[in-house]
Amino acid sequence: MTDTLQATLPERVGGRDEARQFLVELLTGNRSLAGFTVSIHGDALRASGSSFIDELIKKLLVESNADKVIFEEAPPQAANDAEMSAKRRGVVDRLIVHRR
Amino acid sequence: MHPTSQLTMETVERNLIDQDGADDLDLTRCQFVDPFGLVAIACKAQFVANRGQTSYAVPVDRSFAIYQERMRLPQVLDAQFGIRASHIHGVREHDRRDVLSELTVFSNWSDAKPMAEMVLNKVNADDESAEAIWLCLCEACENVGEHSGARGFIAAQTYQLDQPGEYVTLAVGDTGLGIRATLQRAFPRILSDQDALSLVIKGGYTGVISDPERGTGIHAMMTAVQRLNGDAVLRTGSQSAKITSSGTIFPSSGRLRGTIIGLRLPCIRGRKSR
Repeated sequence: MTDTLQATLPERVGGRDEARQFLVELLTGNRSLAGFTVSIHGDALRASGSSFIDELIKKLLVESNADKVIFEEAPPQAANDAEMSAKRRGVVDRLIVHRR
Repeated sequence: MHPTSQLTMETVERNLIDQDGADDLDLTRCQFVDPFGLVAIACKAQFVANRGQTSYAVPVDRSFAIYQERMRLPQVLDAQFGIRASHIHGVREHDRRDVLSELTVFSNWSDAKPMAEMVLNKVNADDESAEAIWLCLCEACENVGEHSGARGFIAAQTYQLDQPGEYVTLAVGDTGLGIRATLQRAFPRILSDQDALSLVIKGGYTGVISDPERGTGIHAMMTAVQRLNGDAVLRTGSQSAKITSSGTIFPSSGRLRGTIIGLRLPCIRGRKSR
């Protein structure tokens, strides 16, 4: 059984720097997320940049090696971007997207 | 410049960039401009400032003269390049900030985000259009900060045919490296601006050697534009691409350093942006 970390996206996000800032708390000390599931809540999210979503996927699933990322209540564009990013980066088997 | 010229997404090439005597900036005869034209003027101003131009003649057409002042063109050209308008008309007391997002200088997405928030707050967009407008603003501004090596310019305007805020037209530009030079860091065999444009529209190509899985921003933007039945123009170096729901064409262009992206999007999905 893996531990779960939670994060909630704000209404509008964009840019790679913003993604890195969003993940600062989760990734304190550049820690590995192996053994963790990260649950990203998109309930409040209304608009996002592709680069933000791509950086999120890269940081969590590629660099920090989280067991799984679950994107809850993802708006259509963000959901598409997350799936495309994970596919390109070869981690799509560890991404679960629940579309809004 | 053509005697009755317009500077819009469709006409900037002919009336600003390809004009005879391209070494100076003369807006005297200009009668109409959209955000794409404003951003193109700002990009060209960098070029003419480097050649020593320190002033420009404002348009004879009073309504356009007032519009360019309302969009802060003289202030931006003065502050950024030391190019001053020959005279100022002064704008009317009532402002139009409900529909106009003034020409603004930025360095990166963090700088540009308040402007993007303002644009989105002004449009009466459905969820899908709002998502697409935001994505386009975000990716265009992010590219300036990440790749161009230069400052960027952004301007936007909402306009209507039968309802307020029904359409938005916006432009983001810079006088930086351009797309070809950026891609050549990773793909030195890309020799033409048209090839570079084709590849970024197709997606999956980036100049960031340390992260070759990037390269989806412009593709995502153009996909969103086509899905919304909007129009887009990308110009970089000596090439343009025009993207509509029916496809992409690559008209020849004059040469302008940097990159400009212009978009015209309906705020309610499916409405044609003309």
